[in-house]
Amino acid sequence: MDFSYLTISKIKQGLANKDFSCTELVEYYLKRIDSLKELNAFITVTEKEALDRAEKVDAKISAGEDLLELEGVPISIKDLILTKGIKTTASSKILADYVAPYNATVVAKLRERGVVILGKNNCDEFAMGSSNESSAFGPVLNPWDKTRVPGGSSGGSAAAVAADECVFSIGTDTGGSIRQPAALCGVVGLKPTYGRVSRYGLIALTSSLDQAGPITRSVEDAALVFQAIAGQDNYDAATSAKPVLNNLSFLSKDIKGLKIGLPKEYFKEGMSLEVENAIKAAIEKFKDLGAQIIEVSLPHTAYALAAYYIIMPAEASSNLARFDGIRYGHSAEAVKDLFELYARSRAEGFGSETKRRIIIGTYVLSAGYQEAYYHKAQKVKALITQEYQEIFKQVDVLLTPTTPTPAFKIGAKFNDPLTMYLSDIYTVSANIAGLCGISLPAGLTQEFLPIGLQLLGKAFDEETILKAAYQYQEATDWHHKHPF
Amino acid sequence: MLSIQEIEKLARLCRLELSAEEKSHYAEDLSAILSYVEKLQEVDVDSTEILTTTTENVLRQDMVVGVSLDDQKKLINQAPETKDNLVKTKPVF
Repeated sequence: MDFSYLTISKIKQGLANKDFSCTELVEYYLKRIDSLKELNAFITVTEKEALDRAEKVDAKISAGEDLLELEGVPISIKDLILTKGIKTTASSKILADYVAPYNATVVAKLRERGVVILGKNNCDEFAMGSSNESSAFGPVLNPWDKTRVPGGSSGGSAAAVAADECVFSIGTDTGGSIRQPAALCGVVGLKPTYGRVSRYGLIALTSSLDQAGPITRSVEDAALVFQAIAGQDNYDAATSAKPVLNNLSFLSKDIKGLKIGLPKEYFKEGMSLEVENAIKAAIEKFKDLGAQIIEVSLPHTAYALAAYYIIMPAEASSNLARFDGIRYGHSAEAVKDLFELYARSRAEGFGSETKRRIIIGTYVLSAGYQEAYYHKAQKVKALITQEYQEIFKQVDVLLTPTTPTPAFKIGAKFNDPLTMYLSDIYTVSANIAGLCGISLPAGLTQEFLPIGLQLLGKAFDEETILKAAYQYQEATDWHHKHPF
Repeated sequence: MLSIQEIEKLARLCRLELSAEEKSHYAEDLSAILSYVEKLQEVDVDSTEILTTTTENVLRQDMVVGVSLDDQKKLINQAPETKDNLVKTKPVF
């Protein structure tokens, strides 16, 4: 039985037809995870729990019982998301031994649908990064080229999915952290609209921007998982009561007449030639599918990144104030007073990028600066949001590259934070403007590095971007290309 | 360019102990990043209302929702120091 690169529907079919057992399936992934240890995509592998769960699924199948929606599907979860009874570290020393006492809502929902959790994926510490080089547990390697980064912050999730270490992973996206690594690893990554998926149980980075979402090997899998995890949750007051579709029939509807906007500010310099060519070819493909291409302008695009790098650290500095060495996590020893307990626990527990962002956040929120920085950034955010809302009256989706270049070499940007931050330039607007966005594979460079294309949709319009993405996927074969 | 004293003040505010090397390192980093975000000053926002949320305020009933004794114990035992089912800390005053 060839278990390689399975999709959710193939697994459901295979289990229902008894082509293979869940135990065999889980053993395949566990062996694969072990043989690909070098990629460092996993911080924790829950071998025993996964095999126990597989046994229970097999018992259900033997007894002829009906299987749940995602029963027996082996998945992994970014280590920023709480999984009850399983270590959840945020890839930080400060939580190195923290065992989550409850499930995040997204995890509870997936467990209710019968998934098998294989383990927790490595990520940038506290989701702060675009290369997975800021993890206290070592960098993740890109399966396509192990000298290069997988992207971040959900680098472990994207690498695991690309390398067939799981069927899908749940990542989080605050400024691009699902879409950018998905692009660099040649897989699909969906950032739902803020308010679609509960943030309860996500270790908070930026409360006004964070969203959890699926990283998968196909658009239909992303749609399936999105439907499973989205929905109002009493534990997250920012979740929307807007209904979530519960079937995939919309995917196969054609996109004739779909208005695709190309924002000219995204196509200025800074893009590598190969990325540019891949996107141009994708635009032609969308024309073949009957879409109408319209050039549009979003003049405040340039300010989205600057607004993000004020809002995000500001809220992060507030959210990370809870790590005080008193209630959980690392606690410094031999301290003389309370202040030293705080200051040293945090100094010992946090990595350098985390400290950098806490300090920036503290600055832009401090007396005398809050008006000029944080309030100004919020106003620019409002302006950008309005600008996108206006554009979506003219077009249905926006098409852009996901990243300006393919995966860069490990260490290339690490010592220059500003250069690192610029990798987010195409993804950040979706978070700032409250849109939904998906990245999907759209090509390979001459060095066999993946290139991602991004579709942005207006708030709560995941249906349109998923449909457009699916039609493109079915007209190409990029999603069948694998690192090995 | 941010001074070491400014970094020290910030470190105190956010409760982070920094080495001398870290202080000068972060002073440089912050100066570069703050220069970048200065570009926001170009944007005319005076006619814009602050949009801090895309949804209305959602409130719940102001009543105590209990936690089971088991869960309580589990949460309290995550603390490095406890006593009599309470989290122990250094004196505040």
